[in-house]
Amino acid sequence: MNIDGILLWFEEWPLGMAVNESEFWFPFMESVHVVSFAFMVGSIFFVDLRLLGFIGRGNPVRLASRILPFTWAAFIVAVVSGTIMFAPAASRYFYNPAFQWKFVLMAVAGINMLVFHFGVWRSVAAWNDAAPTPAGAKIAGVVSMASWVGVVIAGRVVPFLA
Amino acid sequence: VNRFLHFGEIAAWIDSTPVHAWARELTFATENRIVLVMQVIHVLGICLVAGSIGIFGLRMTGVVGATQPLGDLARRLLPWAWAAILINLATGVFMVVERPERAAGSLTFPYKMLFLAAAIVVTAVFHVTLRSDPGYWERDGGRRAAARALGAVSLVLWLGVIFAGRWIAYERVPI
Repeated sequence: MNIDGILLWFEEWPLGMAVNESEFWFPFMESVHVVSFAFMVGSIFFVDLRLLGFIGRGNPVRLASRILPFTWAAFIVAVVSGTIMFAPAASRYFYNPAFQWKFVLMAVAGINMLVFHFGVWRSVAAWNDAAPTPAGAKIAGVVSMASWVGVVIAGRVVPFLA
Repeated sequence: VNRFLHFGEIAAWIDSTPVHAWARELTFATENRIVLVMQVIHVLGICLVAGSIGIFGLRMTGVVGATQPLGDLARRLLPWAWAAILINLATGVFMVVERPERAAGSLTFPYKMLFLAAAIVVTAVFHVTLRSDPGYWERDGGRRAAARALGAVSLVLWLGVIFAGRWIAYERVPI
C-alpha cells in the first residue's frame, strides 16, 4: 500500500468524516486538542525548568517527574483528538510543510527524551537533591523546551499554509 | 449577550481609534505575519497557564499526591501563571484591537471573559491565602474539602476559558 492509499484510508474513516461535518464536534475536538497539548507542553516545561535549575532548586528532581503520568495521559488525548481532525483532510495535512515540521520536531523531542531517560537520568540519585544538575540534564532541558516550542509554532502555522 | 453588552458599538469605537489603524497597518505591512506571531505567543502562554495551574489544581483537588507543601508549590508555579496571563492579556488585546468585529461577533467571547475573570479571582485567592499562611488549605478537614472543591472549580473555569476561546472562530452572532 502506497502513502496516498494510506492517506485515502484515513480520509474515508467514518468517525473523522462525521466529526469534520459536525458544527459542534469539530471545534470540540480542537478545544480538547488545545487543552491536552497545552497541559502536556506546559508540564514538560516545568520539568525542563527544574532540570535547568530555574525553578525548585534543592527540591528533589524526582518530585518534579511525578507529574509525568499526567503528561502522558494528556499526550494520548492530544494524539487521539489530533488523529480525528487529521483524518478527513489527511493528504492536505500530510503535504503541508508546517505539518511536516511539526512531526519532525516531535520526533526530536521524543529522541531527546529517550537519550535523557537512558542516559543522564540513570544517575539521578547523585543529583536528585543537589543544586546544580549535570550538563547532560541541562542540555536535555534546553532541547526539550526548544523542540516543543517549535512543535507549537509549526502547529499554529499549519492553517496559514493550508 | 453581545447586544446587551453593546459589543457592536464598542467594536465600532475601536475601529475609529488610531491604535486600531496602527495595528491594521502593521498587519498589512507584515502580510498577516504579526497576527501569526501574536497567536503563537498566545498559545505558548496557554501552555504555561495550563502547565502551572493544571499541576497546582490537580494537587489542590488531591488527584496528584501531596509530595510537597501546597505553599511551596504555589510559590514556585503561580508566578509563572501570572506572567503568562499578562502576556496573554497583551497578545489578546492586540488581536481584539486589530480585528474587533471578530470578538464582538462571537457568541463565546463574552463567556471566555467571564470565565477568565472568575478563574483569575479563584487563582488569586489561592495565591494570597497561601502566601500569608502556607498551611491555610490543610489546616483541618473542612479546609481540605474546601481546597478540593475550589481546586476543581479552578480547573473547570480554566477549561471553560480555553473552550470558549477556541470557539471564537466558530459561533458567530450578529452585532
